[in-house]
Amino acid sequence: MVLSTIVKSIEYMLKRPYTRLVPAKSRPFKTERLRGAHLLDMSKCTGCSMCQLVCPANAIDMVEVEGNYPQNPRRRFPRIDLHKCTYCGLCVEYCPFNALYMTSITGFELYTRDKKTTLKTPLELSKVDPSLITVRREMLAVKEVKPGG
Amino acid sequence: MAGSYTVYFGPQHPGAPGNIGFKLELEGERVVKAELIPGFLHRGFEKMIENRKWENSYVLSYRFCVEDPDSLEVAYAEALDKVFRVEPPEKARYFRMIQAEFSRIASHMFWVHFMAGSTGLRTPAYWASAAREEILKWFAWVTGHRVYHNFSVPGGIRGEVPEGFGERTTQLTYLVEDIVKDVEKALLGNRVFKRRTRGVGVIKGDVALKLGATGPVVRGGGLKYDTRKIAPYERYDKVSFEIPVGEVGDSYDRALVRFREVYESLKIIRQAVLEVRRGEPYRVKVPLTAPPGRGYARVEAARGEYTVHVVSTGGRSPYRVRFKSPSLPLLTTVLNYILENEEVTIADLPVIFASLDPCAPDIDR
Amino acid sequence: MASVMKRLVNWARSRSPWMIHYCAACGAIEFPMLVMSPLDWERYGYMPVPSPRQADFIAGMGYLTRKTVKLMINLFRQTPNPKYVVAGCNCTATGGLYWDSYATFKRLDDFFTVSGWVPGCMPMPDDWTALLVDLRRQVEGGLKRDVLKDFESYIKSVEEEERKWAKEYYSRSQPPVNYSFKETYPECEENYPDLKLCVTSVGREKLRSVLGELKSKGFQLLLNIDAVDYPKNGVIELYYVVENTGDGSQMAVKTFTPRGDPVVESVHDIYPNALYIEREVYEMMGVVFRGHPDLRKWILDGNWEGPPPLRKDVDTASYVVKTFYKGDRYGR
Repeated sequence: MVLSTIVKSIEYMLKRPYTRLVPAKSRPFKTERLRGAHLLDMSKCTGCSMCQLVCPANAIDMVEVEGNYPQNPRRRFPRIDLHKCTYCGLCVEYCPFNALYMTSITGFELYTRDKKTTLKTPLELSKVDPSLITVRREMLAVKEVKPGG
Repeated sequence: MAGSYTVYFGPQHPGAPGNIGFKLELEGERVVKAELIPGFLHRGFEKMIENRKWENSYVLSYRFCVEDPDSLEVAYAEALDKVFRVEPPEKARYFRMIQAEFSRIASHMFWVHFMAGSTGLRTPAYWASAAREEILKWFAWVTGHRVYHNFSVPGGIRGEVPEGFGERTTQLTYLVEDIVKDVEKALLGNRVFKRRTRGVGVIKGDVALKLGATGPVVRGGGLKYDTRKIAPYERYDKVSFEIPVGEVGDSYDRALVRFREVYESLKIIRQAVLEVRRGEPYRVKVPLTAPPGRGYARVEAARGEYTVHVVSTGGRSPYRVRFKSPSLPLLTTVLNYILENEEVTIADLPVIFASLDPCAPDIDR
Repeated sequence: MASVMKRLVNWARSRSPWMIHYCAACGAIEFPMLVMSPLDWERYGYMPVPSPRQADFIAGMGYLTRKTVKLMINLFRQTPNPKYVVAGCNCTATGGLYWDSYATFKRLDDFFTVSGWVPGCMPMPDDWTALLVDLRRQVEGGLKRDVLKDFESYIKSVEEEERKWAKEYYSRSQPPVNYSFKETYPECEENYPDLKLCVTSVGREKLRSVLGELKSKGFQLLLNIDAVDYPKNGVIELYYVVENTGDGSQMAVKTFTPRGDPVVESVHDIYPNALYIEREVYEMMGVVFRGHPDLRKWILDGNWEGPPPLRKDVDTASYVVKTFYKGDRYGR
């Protein structure tokens, strides 16, 4: 019995290593729908604070921003505390104007020696690279089905 | 004659089952009594859920057993289905089964670390971590997160399954089966493991049930007792599977039962995958306010029967949610029964802990 | 010469940082991936070590319950210098999802200086790798050791406030009982055939005899005791959920106790595991079980000094926001 284990071990030794050598390069854990840090589309957000209401972790606060945003007269945008967020995606799901997205940015890119850097202002959130978007509202929002079927 | 003395065991101890402590009463090397010291992981979930709303309370509902979160997620989603009186689509029902079964396998593979570690074997643990890793990668691909998935929600599942779901899932079941077979051979076939576990921690199934235990501990004691069979939830009545049982009820039998369970879970997944097709409805919309009433769900988690009791008095938040912990009897009544009826030395204690496989945060919540 | 020696020591130190093997919370679930084949941290020289006396750093992994923090401080004191503290997961930094939990401390840097933060809930294994690589780099660059902050007065002031609240809570008079209750045993009050569950109700004087009768009928497994508090009606409802081990059907025996006099007979001699469930209900709900041999604080011991937290009129969320977040629930 122990012999078969040894044989198997030798088999494994001859195979390609399972260990990911440099995670910074190979990104072994990223997937297409990974729920990571947020991206805010400031041209769509109307400041309705739905994301603030639905957030289970109280990570989202609405703050005022300088600038000219015609769709958002009070200029109130979500400020997201990525050190409080649980990355559940409810804010994306409940955003009525499709202004929030999630990207594949996770703790690996957000790692910090000073935790003040993870409190993201709306402007910082809107400057994230859109090619990293993984979760959109269409993926999570409910398709209308009558109850009972 | 060695005197009797008291020793504190855990929570910072590699042999302790998680972040939880014990006050052991020893006579020489024999452990006479073990008193549980919980509370290192208490967060007060039942209170916190009352402060949340219906639509975001499920984010909290499964976090207190990190090794096996999906059974708890499915249970809470089921209970809320009852509160809102909605019937989720068939596809969601089958998907929840797949999710819960993969979670059970991942949990049992995590347990291999425990079991192999406490008997001094490292190789099976390394192989098992590969099986678990493959399952977590599958979860990240389907749900977007590795450990906490947030995918079973009241009214169905949260999103469409990705393209090529059926093929990749079936492939994964065969890959996992190969690895698990190797792990089983390396662990259960090892002479050291047999010596350490045979006749250690014997408890019969009917005795364990009377002490409040459910799950593999009861089935290892030779009793066919499984919520998936006696009160089928989701679509467990539509799939065929067996309930593996042990004979003696010692640590070895419990280990055996867990490995057999993994194969049965894979069988269930292969049947359920056929019913999950892209393009079919996956979720029913639930309202933001619930009608007054009661929601109750019972599921078979990896550690035993797990129930959720939700009380609604209408409005935007749950009025009261109560979870049942399958691990609490394992470390209190069952453990003390074993200590009373057997000569357990301190060296055997980690083996018994591991073979009972309690989930420490589940006791504290 | 001295500086070369120092650099050599730092280099050597950075190649073998050992972590205290203390898996404090749920963040530890991704550690096997890190320790074992998928990412294999031993190639960086890391290793878990059971004894704090041989360790170099301690990692906060997830939520910090008060009991755990006290233990972590103890472990940190036993670790030889130079020692480091690193923090993974969101709960160690801000409280995270458990922002309204009455039993956790919210920030690790209230107690220690911290050398690195990994955000994420849960951080994935490669997120932890970012921390490990950076810690190694920092140690090689001559990272100063982390120190304990003044924590004793902080913990004491929090606990003192809770004791005051508990005193004030118990001195309040309870609302009168305004509750309609009909005994239906042995018939079901509510029936859920798909779950095989039947809810029946019985007065609290007859509870023991009814449960004894049920046990002889085959309901041998006590699953749970559910308590629901109704301050408006002045009662606490109790559900004893028992399961028939023959056919798997369940019976929830409902009873109630007035809030002014929350006393129920203990059933631990009928169902042995009731001993522990009753103890939990006692500390969480304040229901006293007469005849229970060892009714005391258990899970909440060291975590919470205030009134029974699961009672509906105990508003722990606003208390926590006031105490730990200075009144700003969206702050840190």
